[in-house]
Amino acid sequence: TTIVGVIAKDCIVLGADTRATAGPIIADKNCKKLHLISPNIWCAGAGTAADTEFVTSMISSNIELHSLYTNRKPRVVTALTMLKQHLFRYQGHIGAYLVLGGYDCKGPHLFTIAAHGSSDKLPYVALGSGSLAAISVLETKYQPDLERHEAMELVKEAIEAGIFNDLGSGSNCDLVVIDEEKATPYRGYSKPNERATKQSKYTYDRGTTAVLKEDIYKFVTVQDLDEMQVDV
Amino acid sequence: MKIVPDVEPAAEVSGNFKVSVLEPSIPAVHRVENKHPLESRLKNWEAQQQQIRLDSMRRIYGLHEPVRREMEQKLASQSSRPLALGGSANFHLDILANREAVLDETDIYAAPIPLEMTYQNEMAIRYGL
Repeated sequence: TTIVGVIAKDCIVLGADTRATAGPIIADKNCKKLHLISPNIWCAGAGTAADTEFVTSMISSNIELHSLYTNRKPRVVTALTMLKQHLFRYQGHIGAYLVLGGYDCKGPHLFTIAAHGSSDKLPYVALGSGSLAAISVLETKYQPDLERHEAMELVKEAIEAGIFNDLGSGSNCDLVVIDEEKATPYRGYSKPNERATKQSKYTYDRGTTAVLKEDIYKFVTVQDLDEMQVDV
Repeated sequence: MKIVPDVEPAAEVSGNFKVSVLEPSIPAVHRVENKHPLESRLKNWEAQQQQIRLDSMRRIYGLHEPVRREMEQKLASQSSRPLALGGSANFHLDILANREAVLDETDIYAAPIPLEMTYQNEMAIRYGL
């Protein structure tokens, strides 16, 4: 996995690759690693896929309840606190490594949360097996107050560094841009690994294989009884 | 002040713990006659957090504050609402614990609801018969 987050001028950009692995096997070539926590808070997850999926959906429910309870738009720090307290309780047994980003009444916020419950607050972050490739791109090219499209391209480049240089990452690049008004997800923002068309057809004409024997079996046998005894 | 509850040690551990220079082997635990250490941590977590809160209240406001809160909790826990009606196990307790807007596994795996609303069923569940 490669997941990345960047604070831009007046928005947050989160990005992720779309490869899910199970040991040496690619389990999913186009999975979703960007999770919605609330309309203005999103979360990118690395680590154990089920844990990232369910911990974010649980916090999403609690954030919604909390915002209904307080009558306010949810804040990123609230989600951060809920997530890290939950993860700390489970001592890292919930293997969720998250990049949490959002835009609330206090402006844009970006955090990373590790499985044991620690968190960082940084202007640009990368997590997952491809984080080393991604962070090297960010370290080279990041600057404060990037324009929206510049930030999107930077995140795309960082994710693609992960896709091409890390075996645990691959396929496409998903993005989500969160600004003051709304979050805009870009599913498959870049697809650098489009499957090539097959060189020849592998469908054969009917009758290519000779029929040696034809037989039809009756799969259902109906047996009639002499008397039907029905108790009423 | 302890934030994290104690981990109950494994009741019985069997294995080969011999460490020798001539026969280097990693000490291996074969069998631990207990549940996962996380289990006791999670089981005692809320109680420990509550203890911390009461403790800080005692330091800040004096003894009367935790005493009053524990008393309120005791009263709220003596609910007479029939379990067969379902719903939250004890909404008043949830409010006192500041959990009325929180949803987690304890709300899903709540106290069992009797199939039939009889006095016997109610008492059996309430007192764990």
